[in-house]
Amino acid sequence: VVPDDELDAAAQALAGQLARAATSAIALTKRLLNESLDAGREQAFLLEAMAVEMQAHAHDAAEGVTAFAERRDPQFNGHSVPRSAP
Amino acid sequence: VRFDAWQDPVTHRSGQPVPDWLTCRDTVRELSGALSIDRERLAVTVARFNAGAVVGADPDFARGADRYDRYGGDPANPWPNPCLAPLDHPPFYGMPLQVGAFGTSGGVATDERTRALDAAGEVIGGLFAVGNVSAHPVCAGYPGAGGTLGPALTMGYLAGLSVGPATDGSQAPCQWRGVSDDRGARNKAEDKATQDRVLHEVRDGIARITLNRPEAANALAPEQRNRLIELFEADSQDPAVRVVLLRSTGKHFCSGADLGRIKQLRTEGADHVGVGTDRILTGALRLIAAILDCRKPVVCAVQGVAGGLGLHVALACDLIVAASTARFFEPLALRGLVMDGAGAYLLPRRIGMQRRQGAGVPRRPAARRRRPGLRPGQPGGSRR
Repeated sequence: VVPDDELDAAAQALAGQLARAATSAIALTKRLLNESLDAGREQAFLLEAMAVEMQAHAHDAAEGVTAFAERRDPQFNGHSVPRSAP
Repeated sequence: VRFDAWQDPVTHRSGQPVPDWLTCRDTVRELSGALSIDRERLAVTVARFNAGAVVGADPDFARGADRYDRYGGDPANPWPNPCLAPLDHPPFYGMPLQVGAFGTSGGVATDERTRALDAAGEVIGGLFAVGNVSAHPVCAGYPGAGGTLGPALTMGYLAGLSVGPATDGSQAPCQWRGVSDDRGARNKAEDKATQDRVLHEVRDGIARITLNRPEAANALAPEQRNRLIELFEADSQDPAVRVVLLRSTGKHFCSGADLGRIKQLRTEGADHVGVGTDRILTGALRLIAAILDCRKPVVCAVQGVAGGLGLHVALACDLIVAASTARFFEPLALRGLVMDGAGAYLLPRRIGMQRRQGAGVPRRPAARRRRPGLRPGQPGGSRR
């Protein structure tokens, strides 16, 4: 909750953060969360494992882990896989 | 016998053409000349050999002295020792002999990944032993022709797997196909280190499982994760255990899975479709399942950061006691990774969907995220 006159700025700021985020990671996580309560444990675990592997191929996964190791801010591009990927 | 890859036969019988590698003469004297051997010394040696052969003795090399030697001799030999007969009629043959290790009766002890072990049974880093130089299962015997080749080829292959691909210069683990985890292959030294990093004590009905890797904010490497699984499964069945208390040493409860290992999993998953999925199913998710399936109540004590897998481990427990320093943190989106370790399964069930989705927003500082639901008021309060 924010003060009334800060609503638009706060919403814009939140949207801006998401616009610079690892979109495919968030998209897959969102799908997992939305499936979660409809799925049993075994099904939820399988979906998660497959989603993790999907995202492992993304540029942003490599960039995020590397940036963390190098203690810098990551530069996410959203959805793409590295050009070197088959 | 003929090895077709070679141009010349490697055996010779009297009367056949003499191959290049064999020198043949009608007298010992001529043979010494052809082989550039001192004539007198060869004559003396042959005389000494012949004197021994007629009584079955070899004063120089003890040929035929044991049953193994005699097994390789000529059973039709009329002289007392099947390995010896006097050299007294032509033709006389000579050839150069080279010494080589054909078999050994033991060698360097290794584990099943061919890593050399010291006297205490601990791995010597970077040293491998295969085939004849190792203490492989039939090293003390010689089961038959080619019996040294199988161990050399097989163990060489295993050594290659053990060394693994050189990627970032770090010690690469084995990539063993068909082995879902490496519990069976762990050696004693690694076991000891793992036990020091996950302490376990059962007293007064309470099993205390203590994460003890404070220098790494108790980040969970696969070895520690596997030990946790074993401990939860054991405590679940142990009648002496009536409650499990999960806690940790140092400033932080658990910062999540070991990041270096995450990077490694990414690399391996990229090489083989499906490997990443299997690793997740047999790794972090098995730990969460082991906690959920534990038949005893599990209490979790959290101080400092509980992040990623650390958060999910805490949420899988039945009750959480949080210190005022506790911060629950979902860092995976910041790293460009999908929320794993059963986060998507647990969070909507434990704290509800919209609060959970807010926690997924990659924003800092993390402390703001602990507010709703995640931390249930004061220490000692119920989480729900």
